[in-house]
Amino acid sequence: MLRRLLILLLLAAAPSLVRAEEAPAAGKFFPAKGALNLDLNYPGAGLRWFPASGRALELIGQKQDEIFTGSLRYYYYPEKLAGRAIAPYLAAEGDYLDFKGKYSKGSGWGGGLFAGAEYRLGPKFSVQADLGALYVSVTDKDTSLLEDGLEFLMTFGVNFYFSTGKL
Amino acid sequence: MKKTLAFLFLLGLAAPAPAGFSLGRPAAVKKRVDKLDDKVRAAARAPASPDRPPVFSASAAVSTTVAAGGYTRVSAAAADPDGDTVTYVWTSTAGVFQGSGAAPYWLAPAVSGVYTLSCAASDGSLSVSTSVVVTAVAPGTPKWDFSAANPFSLPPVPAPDGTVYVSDSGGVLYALDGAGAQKWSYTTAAALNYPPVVSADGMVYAVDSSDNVYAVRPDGTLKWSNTTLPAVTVDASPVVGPDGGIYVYDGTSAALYSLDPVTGVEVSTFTDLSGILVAPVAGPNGSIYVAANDGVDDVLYAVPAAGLSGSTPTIVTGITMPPAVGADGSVYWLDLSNNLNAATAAGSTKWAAPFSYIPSLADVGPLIGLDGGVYVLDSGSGVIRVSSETGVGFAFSSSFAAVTQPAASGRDGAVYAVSTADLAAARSGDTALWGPVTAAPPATAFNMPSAVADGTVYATDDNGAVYAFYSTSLPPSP
Repeated sequence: MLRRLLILLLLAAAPSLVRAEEAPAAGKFFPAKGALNLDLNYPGAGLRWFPASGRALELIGQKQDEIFTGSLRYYYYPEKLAGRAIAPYLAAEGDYLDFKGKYSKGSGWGGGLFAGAEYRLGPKFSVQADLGALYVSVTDKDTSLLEDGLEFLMTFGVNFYFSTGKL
Repeated sequence: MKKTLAFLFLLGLAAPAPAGFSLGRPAAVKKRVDKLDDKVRAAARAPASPDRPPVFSASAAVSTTVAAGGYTRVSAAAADPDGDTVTYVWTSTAGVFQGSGAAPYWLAPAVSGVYTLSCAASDGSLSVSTSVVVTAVAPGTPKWDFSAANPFSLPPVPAPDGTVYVSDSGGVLYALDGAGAQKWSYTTAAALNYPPVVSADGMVYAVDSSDNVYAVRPDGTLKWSNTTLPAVTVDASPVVGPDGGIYVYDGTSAALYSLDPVTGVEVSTFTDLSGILVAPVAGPNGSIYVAANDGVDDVLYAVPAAGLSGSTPTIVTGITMPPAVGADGSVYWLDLSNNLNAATAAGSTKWAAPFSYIPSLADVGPLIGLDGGVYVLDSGSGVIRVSSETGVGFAFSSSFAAVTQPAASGRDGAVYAVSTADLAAARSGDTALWGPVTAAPPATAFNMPSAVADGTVYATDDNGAVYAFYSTSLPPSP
């Protein structure tokens, strides 16, 4: 359901894309120091802040099927790869996990590396997607049984910039 | 155009995730949670470990041979592999257990034989058994013997650690272990006139007939000797005082000398009291009991570590021999009128009337037996046991004859004495328990026996042999 909602958001943003296409070139899309945005991702939300140009920290919360993840993510946007509307990035994150399964219940942790791109739809909107690998470790509280391993993960979201910062 | 393609690419990413990829972190985590669910469910379905019985790691008896009517202590140790609490139940075809748990006492029946003592260890649902075999021999059966180089005239001195000290007429002090094997020997300058004394820390103190005082370590090495006491004639075994000092008594000058327990050097003459009447004795509470005349009365002072000022005085008019002190601090002494008197630890008269008898020529005072009775020698009746509670005496006139040396008693009231040169044992009712045992030629007589709580009776003969005999006893009170 959330995924469908995100697709609708992307389609709704299409006119902005058209305007951006028609707008005169205004330099590269490269997030500036001080920028702050709200990231509606699937299935959760995050708040991203750029302490330096091309570098960001984001707190992300996601919840689905009685599984909650809280993440702190670091973004690096290589300036050389930035285009007029697209800004590729690399990201690394650490995660706190809380879950309730059918028979298990407990907490865990995760850590992953990601690569993706953010695409500007307008002065305050962008969309992003990335792919990566996330190491997951979960432990059942009652039995202390542990399960861990590497999972491949895709994320995407829509960003609303409260502030675009200053280059 | 490129931006449009890029947008469509992003839109494609938003479509179903590529195979093997999860969309969003919870989906990735859920894959691992599902696997964890499988593990938890499998663990829950695993059958519980079957209960396992305890496993014995040890079982033993302190003594595998005892006298019929004697006792030993048995013990077992078991552990439950499941961690359950283990309880022990001991059973035997004969005899009686005293106490419970892993290490009770077993009182052997009065009939000799080989007895199997079984121990069942249970974790509440399963149990295992083990057993200990104990042989009960007839009381009076020899346990071991030891031959020395010279004849004996002094009784053996058993120490709490099981070591037995004996000194022969050649001045050789022997330490024998619980099996009668020699641990060490130490030769003094002259023969001992009095039995050695063992202190709580295992030191052995002795005085030889030349009035030299010795301190011998538990390993048989000399710690110190004092050969410089001025013109002293030592008239009794040394006494270890509550302050650790070693006290020796000179009856000729009626003086008491204190020696430093570390160096053996004379610290002082006990000048707080003048005219010491009899040799001091050690009490059960660490005090030493010193009798002196205060100018009016003969007074016995129980001197604690704090010194004479903290002592409890008891009037002991006419005291003639070293007193005996009971476990409760009661004092028993002989007076010039051939009476055995008793006073409580507080100094008050204990019995309604003194016990009157005719002392023998044996130059000894009353002795406290392991059964708590007071034992004296009477030239007419022989060995007399006087109740420490009532003062009523009972003569062992049927069991012993021509007794000239003090008797010893066991915890069960059995009495051991040299009767017409033979060693004999009597039950508390004056019926024969065992013996008489005649000294093996060329020996002609036994010397005063000693008895210890486990029922072993020690005696020396006049030809240089030490004997240990099995005898009856009672386990310690719970």
